[in-house]
Amino acid sequence: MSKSILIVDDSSSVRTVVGIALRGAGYDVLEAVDGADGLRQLDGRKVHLIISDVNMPNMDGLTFLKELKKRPQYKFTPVMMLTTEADESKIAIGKSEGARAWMVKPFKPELMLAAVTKLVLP
Amino acid sequence: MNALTRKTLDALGWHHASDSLAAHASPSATHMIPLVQVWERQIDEASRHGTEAVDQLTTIFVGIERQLAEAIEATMRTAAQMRSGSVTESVSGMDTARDRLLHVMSMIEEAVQANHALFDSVRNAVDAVKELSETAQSVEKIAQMTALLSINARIEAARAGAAGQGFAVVADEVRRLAAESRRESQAIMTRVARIDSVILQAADAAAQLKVRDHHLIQHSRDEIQSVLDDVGAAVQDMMQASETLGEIGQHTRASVGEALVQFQFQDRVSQRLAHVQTSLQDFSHQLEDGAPGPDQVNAMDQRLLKSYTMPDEGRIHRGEAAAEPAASGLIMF
Repeated sequence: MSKSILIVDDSSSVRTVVGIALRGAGYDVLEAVDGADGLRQLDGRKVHLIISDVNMPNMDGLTFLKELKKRPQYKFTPVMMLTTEADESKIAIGKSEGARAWMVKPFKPELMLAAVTKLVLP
Repeated sequence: MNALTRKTLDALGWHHASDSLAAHASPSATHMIPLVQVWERQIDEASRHGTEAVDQLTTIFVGIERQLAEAIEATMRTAAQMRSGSVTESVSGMDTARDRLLHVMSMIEEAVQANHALFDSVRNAVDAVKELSETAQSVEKIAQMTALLSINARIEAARAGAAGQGFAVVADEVRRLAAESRRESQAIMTRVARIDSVILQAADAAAQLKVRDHHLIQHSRDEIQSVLDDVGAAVQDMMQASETLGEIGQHTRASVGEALVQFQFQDRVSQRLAHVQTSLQDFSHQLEDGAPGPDQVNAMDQRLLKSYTMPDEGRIHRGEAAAEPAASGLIMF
């Protein structure tokens, strides 16, 4: 059974690019357009990794991360932030809120996949 | 001066007959010019970034189109060769090649069977000659014993005197028959020798046949090698075509990978425009209370500066040259 990964990003082109790379590597992919949608999509469902943007409408990625980690079943679900945000203070917040990696866009799909391989739950 | 700046200046009641903002703005509004110029630079950068990314995408897709054309051409070329040319003279001619090999095999089998038959005949002949020779030797031996017996009978007849006269005649006759038997047996042995000679000739013929078989096998080997070479050439051509297609596929994949990176420009452009849009909304709210003063404009400038997520936005804001975004900066926690 394939491992599933949730992509949370308001940019459809980024969701498409990440989705193509992940599906090509054999992962099942769920997509959400912002943090609030991400929480709705999860709804108790098991995912092996979450890839989230930071700057999004409705609920940004750091708030999403904070809300996610409040839920016991997702406490240990690895989260990788994938964002144009390169501000050190935001990166520090991401780390303190429990993100496992921070990747700055634009990204190369093969490097993103290498990071996914390291982070995804067994 | 771009359309946004013009519209903004129009909204503020400024004149903009030339490209110099400061020269035509009303003196009370000159403090707003730097903020408007920031918007202008951000929008220009977003436009430049979009145009550049689309240009790169166009170049990449032209490359992909060319690679696909090469792949199609390679496929068509192989297909054409398979239909009419040397490549599949062997492929379409696989049946012919198989027939040729089967024919060769059939010839070899026939030759081997003929040789077996010949060798059987020669072996039978050798056995027959041996039997004949033994028979002739037996006959000669009997003739010698019969001659010896007739001599003894003649001696006994002589001892018997007149009574043995008749027996002496019989003994002479027996001796004559024994001599005839010996002559016949010698004649048989002579004939056997002649047959033996014929058999030797047959053996020579068999040897010649062996030489012919050797040539036949050599010819067969050459023919098989020729067929294998043809098939090998066809396979080689197909493998080469396959490798070419594989290389083109790899290049195409790499090009698509580059395109996927470039497609992310939309996210960067959207974010840059979203920050300017937020600042324009900020400005619009300020305008509702009248033209913003220098402090308010400065505060708007700081809010815009703080809203940036990409280092490049800060550089553009300050009027510095844009830097190419580095791909895939990854920090593992």
